[in-house]
Amino acid sequence: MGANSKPAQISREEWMSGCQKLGLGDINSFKALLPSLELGFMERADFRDFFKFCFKFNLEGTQKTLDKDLVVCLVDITLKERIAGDRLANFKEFLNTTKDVSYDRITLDQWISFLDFSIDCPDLSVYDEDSSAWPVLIDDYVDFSNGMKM
Amino acid sequence: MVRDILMYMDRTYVTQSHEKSTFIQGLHLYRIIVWEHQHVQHRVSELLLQAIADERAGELTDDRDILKKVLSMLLQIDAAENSNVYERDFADNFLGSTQEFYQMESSEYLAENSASDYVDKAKRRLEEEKFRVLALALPPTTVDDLQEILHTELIQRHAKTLVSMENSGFAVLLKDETKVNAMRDMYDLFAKVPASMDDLRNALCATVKNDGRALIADQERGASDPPTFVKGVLKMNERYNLIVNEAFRGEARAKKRLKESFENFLNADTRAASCLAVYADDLLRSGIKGVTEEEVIRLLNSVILVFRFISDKDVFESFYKQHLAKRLLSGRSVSDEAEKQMVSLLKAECGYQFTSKLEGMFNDMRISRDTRDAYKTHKRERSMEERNSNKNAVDIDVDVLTTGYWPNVKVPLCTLPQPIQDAIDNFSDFYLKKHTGRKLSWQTSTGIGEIKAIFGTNDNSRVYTLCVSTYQMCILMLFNENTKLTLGQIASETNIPDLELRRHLISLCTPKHRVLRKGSKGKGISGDDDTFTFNPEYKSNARRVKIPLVSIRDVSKNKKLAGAKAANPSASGNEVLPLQLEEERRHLVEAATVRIMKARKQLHHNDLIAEVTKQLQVRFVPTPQFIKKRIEGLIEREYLERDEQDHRLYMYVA
Repeated sequence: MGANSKPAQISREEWMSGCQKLGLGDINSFKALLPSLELGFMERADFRDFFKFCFKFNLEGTQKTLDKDLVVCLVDITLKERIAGDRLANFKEFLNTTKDVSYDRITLDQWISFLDFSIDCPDLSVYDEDSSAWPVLIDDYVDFSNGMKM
Repeated sequence: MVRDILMYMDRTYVTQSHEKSTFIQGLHLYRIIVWEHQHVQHRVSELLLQAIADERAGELTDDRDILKKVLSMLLQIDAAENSNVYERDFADNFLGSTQEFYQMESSEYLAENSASDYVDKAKRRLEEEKFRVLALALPPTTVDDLQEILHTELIQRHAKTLVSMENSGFAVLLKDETKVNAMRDMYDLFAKVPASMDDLRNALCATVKNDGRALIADQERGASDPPTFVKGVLKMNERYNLIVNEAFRGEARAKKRLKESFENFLNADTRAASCLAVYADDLLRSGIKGVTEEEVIRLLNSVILVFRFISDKDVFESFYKQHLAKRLLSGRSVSDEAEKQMVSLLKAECGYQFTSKLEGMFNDMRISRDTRDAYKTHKRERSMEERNSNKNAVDIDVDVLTTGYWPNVKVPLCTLPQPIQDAIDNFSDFYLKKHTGRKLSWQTSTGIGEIKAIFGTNDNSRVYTLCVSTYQMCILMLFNENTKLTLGQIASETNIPDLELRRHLISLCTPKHRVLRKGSKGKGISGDDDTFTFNPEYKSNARRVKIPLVSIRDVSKNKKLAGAKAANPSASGNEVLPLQLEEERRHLVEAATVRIMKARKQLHHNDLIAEVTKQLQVRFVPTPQFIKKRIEGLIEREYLERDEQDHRLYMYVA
């Protein structure tokens, strides 16, 4: 909405100009507009940017990765309406139970790839690990998921 | 004849009114009236088939000519009228009965006879049919169909049985060198049905792999030592090459599969690389002593032969380096020239980079020799005064090694006896004046010292010169001041690392060389307060005694070896690679990836993997997973990025 000056804070001017851009004059039109602002409506490309933004937003200082537990929470908040519920639960469990220490921190690449992967590959059983270009995290996740089903 | 009479009519009336010509009409009538007469048609057909069956059963017919004429008659009718008399009344039945006949015969025969006999019989039958075809002048279509039936029934149907039959199947023949001819016959037979040749090749591969695995299992059990293993592999290679050349007639596909089978079992285990290095070490230490030059070259080439099959070549290089270091430092290699030859053979196989470190090692030795000479001259030139004050000065010979080339050994310094320390300091001064800016680390874990030791009582003393390792020397020197010391005391006085300390102490108390007497009973050292006493009773037959070291294995039975090994993802099997190699491989993959991406700017996942593998396979074969992991690391460090639209496309980040 153009409120860029301070993260997670909207200054009064930004609010005013934002409202103007959206054509909001009073509280009623605001109420009318609200449902359409639900995340659910966002186009795929926009949502993707938003998803990336979520990750970057939470980065601290000069770090490039997010802590795994934080990722588990974030993934839940952002993707709850977007991808299949069992997929999401699956993935969270994978992250929580994996013993691989290299996954203690999650990179942006892994983050955004999970979203793309969830959209591109709805069916895990046809996943071809050997020729895939997805990050190894995804490969391990598929192994985990298939292992669970078996 | 009739035609001749009616020729005029043929030419004019017939063509005008588009009726059939006399000749053709004649044939037509013949067919309808004569041939298809119930008594004629079937009888003749049956007689034809019967005649052929008889022939097959072994009875010769004199009537081949008649048969031929009958058949050609049928063919003519067909040609003239576009009927299919030939096919209907002869060919179909002929093919059908042929098929039945051979199906039965081949199964029966195979059930009773050996595979080689069957091969011979099949050959004969094929020849027979060929002759018959010519004698009867059968048309090409029939010939083709016939051949197909023969091949299917005689060969294809029984291919697998022939290969796996007990006692005489191809698989069994492979094990016996004398049966090459039988194998070749079978190969020739199978060559008529190309698909079945795969069965032969598969049998070959299976046998090779089994033999190979047996060799490896032997080596694992300890029933054979590394050189024996390698020699076994070489012998196998020779044997199977012979078989491929003779029995398979040098067929390219068979050769390729042979190579694959060798690679398969040799790379199932890193042991192959280390065995090969030990084999090479053996050769260069003593194996080529007194052997002619050609033989030397042949033996060295045999190493390269096996080397080519190994995919983890960097493992071999690491082991080879270690062995080479030991050889060079202890002066153990039989022939310098042979060493250099080996290295140049390796260079020819893998390129300059592979052998640059090895050549560096040779260089170091050469330069060290020069440095030593210079040092000797330097010492002589020092003033008399200096020399007199250094009464206890000790002579030392130093080899200076460049760190990058030699295998890494991180050795904490032990406390050296004063005279030694002085000598070292002198040399250091000399060297560092010559080469400023360098740093010398003394490798006290290696090195030999000669000590003069006096045993016995004062009236009856024996003097021996003991050749000992540096650590042993430090330990023994302590006994100049004390007759008896505990392990703890020795440890704190010398600062020798624990495992080595134990090893060197034990080697000084073995029954054969009991220079020191150990307090505790048994082979091992009981603890920190175990005592060691100087043994004046020690006797030896020779004036100069070399005190050998006991092997680490004996010492460490109860102790854990502090080895830096970890399970690693870069290897193709489930082996354990030294940590250092693992790291090196990671660097190599990353460097190659960045290099390739920089040149190509953007590349698809599969292509990138293929390129990286291609560039690195001279050294080792990285798995796609390994490369992928490195790619991810590079993405994180922002050397590469994934394309927004196509997740399989990578782009170089300038």
